[in-house]
Amino acid sequence: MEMNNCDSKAARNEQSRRWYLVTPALALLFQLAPPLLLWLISTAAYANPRNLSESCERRISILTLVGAAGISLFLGSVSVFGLLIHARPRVAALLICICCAPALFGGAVYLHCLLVFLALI
Amino acid sequence: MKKSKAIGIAVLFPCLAYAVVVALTERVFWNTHAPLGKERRSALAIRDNVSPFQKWGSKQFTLPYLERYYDAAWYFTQTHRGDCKDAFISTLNTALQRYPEVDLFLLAHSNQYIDWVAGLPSERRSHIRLVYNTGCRDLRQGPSWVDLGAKAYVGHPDVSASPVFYFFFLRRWTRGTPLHDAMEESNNLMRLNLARAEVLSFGNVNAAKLSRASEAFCYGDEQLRFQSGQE
Repeated sequence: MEMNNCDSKAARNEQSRRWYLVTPALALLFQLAPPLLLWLISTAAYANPRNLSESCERRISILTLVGAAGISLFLGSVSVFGLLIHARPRVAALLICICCAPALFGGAVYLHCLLVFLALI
Repeated sequence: MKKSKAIGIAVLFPCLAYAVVVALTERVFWNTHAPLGKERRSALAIRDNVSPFQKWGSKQFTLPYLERYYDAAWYFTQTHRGDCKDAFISTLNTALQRYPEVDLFLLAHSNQYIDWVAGLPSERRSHIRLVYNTGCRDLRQGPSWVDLGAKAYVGHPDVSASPVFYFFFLRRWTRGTPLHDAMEESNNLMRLNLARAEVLSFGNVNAAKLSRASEAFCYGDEQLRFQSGQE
């Protein structure tokens, strides 16, 4: 019984230690969300009749860009950190290139869009 | 790897990504104050009936610049050809009455908004300052717009990639870059981006041909400045 407890604890520990492999995948998968959301906003805003008021259109668009930029950059950075600390160098390099880089570039694009759309830069 | 080093790299990567995106797309303007004479300027923009995403993008990009750098700004999105005519004309009439400098942004495929504006009294039309038209082959309207009273008209000669030009042009013009310089810079940046598109599309985009068709030209006063009273 004690042995079983120890085993399940060890398994849980092992799983929680593997978070560094999950976040890169999440970071990459998340890149599907912003284009889809922006397309949904535009479709709702310019349906005939409108499903989204003009004031909501602006607010929701900006919030979506804030969220897209923030989440992409956060997940990308956390993934890079986790991989550098926990993964073997080859695995880290591969996952940073395949998963983290697209997330970071995506986040940077959304951030730049946000700043341009707000006429701040 | 040490934790501190990993944190440093994890912070540096997003910064690097942002620097690359800025280098590949559009530079940062640090001075974003409205040039002098804002109280004398107003602007109207009209978008034709395109896809919802294009309508959304045009408005989200254009309106903040108009609202920030003009005393008053109006933005119209058409749902069919000929839509918004009465509202556009009546708003333009009011703007011309109230403001000595009114800029028009015609964000539409080949269009004939000139016919709408021609119906206004000539004394009012003399307050029209810049007309920018994204319409393909609408450069030929230039002399007519200048005859109507516009100080300057910017358009494209053929089937063009005008949105690429417009993205750079609006940001420069509203930040006070003289018309000629804003146009030159935007034409150059458009050429650069079309050349990149040619590479990325494995040659499917003919950058040289598209650049020739898209290059913006100006009729009227090329030395026009955004700052009021400095034409």
